[in-house]
Amino acid sequence: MSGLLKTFKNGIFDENPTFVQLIGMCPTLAVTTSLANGIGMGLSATVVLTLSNVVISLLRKLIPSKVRIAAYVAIIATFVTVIDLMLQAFVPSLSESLGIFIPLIVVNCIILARAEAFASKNGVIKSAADGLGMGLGFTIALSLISAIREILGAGTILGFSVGISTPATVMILPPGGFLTLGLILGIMNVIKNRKGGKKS
Amino acid sequence: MTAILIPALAIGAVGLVLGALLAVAAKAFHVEVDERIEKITGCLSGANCGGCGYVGCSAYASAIVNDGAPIDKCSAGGQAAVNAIAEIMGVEATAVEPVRAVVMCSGTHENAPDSYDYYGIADCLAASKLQGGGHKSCSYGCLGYGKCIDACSEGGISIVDGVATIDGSACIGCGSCKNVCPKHIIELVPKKYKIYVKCKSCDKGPAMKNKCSVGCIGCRLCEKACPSGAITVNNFLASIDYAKCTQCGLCAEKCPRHIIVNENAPAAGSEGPAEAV
Repeated sequence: MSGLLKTFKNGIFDENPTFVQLIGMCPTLAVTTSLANGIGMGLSATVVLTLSNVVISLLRKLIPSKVRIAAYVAIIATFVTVIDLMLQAFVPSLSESLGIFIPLIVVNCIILARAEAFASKNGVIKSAADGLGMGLGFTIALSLISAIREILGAGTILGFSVGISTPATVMILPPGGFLTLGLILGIMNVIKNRKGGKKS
Repeated sequence: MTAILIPALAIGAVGLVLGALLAVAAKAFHVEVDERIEKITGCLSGANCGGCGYVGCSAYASAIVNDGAPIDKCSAGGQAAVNAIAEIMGVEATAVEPVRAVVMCSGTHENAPDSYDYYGIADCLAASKLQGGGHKSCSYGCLGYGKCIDACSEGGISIVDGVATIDGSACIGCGSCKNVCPKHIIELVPKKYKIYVKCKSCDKGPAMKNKCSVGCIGCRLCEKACPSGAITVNNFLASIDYAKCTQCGLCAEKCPRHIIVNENAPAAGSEGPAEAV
């Protein structure tokens, strides 16, 4: 059980896909203009990641290694299409604002990387825990970035005003994404270096 | 043989199962799409010029169906498009006045010489940011770097003697050129009217005379000559209200600077009939 928990926490902290592995940058920078978008994107990716990890782990002995990538892509694409259809049917506003980035989850490297690096080598339950952990790590990272960008750039949080009279619009434009991500990574490095210094 | 067969079968089997899953999902999450959007998109010009104020033809089509946008915004499609959309939407077609874009400037190299040499980026916007609003003596005039040429989807604009000139027969009236011009000297004029004040200068008379040999000096002769009160002078610049204009051509005859151009007259252009008399 502790092994499962460790796998789960691994995705959120030690190997956080956004802040530590720095993969999946395309949606990270593009959709984090508002908190609702960030959470929506993160949760969609989490669902796809968990389901594809489970299925790939189930089929890992059946799929010949020579065609494994093709099979993984087919599986991931299926789940992404299902999620896309579901969002269109139940949350059309979110589907509209995320637009092309939902179909693009197919080529999100976090998902293919976990399929190749983890699910194809581990059991079903462990793979599910890994998918859930990585997905939540991704969601938390996107939520943090998008909350900062929405507060500073639009003066709102989840659409409610926070009382900033002149928001810095640049924060919800592309440069704001890079600035926010860069500063968060910088702060994390400072904290990490301090911790390391104390230990030695 | 088995080296190919097994992977092919494996992928095939995976594909079959996933395909079935997708078919179920497509049924379960089916969303009704309004057929009219597709139909209206087909009726529009398809130029995606943006003249209607929407991102493209399909965005305008969905705005008509979902947000009740007015149906007469497609200037490129003209009356035919309005009639077709009216039929689909079940509303009455409105009459559309076809328009064309006209460059309201006569400041050719000869008429309005440059006040300094410009060696910067060959772009109207860049040039217009400089001292005096660009290198042309008149700060209101056409800079001639062709921002409008790039914007035109029909290839109907060319630079003649330093001033952009729009081919009226090619113009679809989308207004793209009007929107990109940093000098705001392009206007949309109803196609049936052939009289234009080809100047946008608000400089006073004496100042204008120093800058451009044909520019409007605000003398008000046209205003006095007009029998229907269609032409007025504001800020030392004459402008025509096409709702009142009868195209009699008196203003063009009276204009001492020949800046009011009457294309209906046999000898159109700067050599106006007033001089011939």
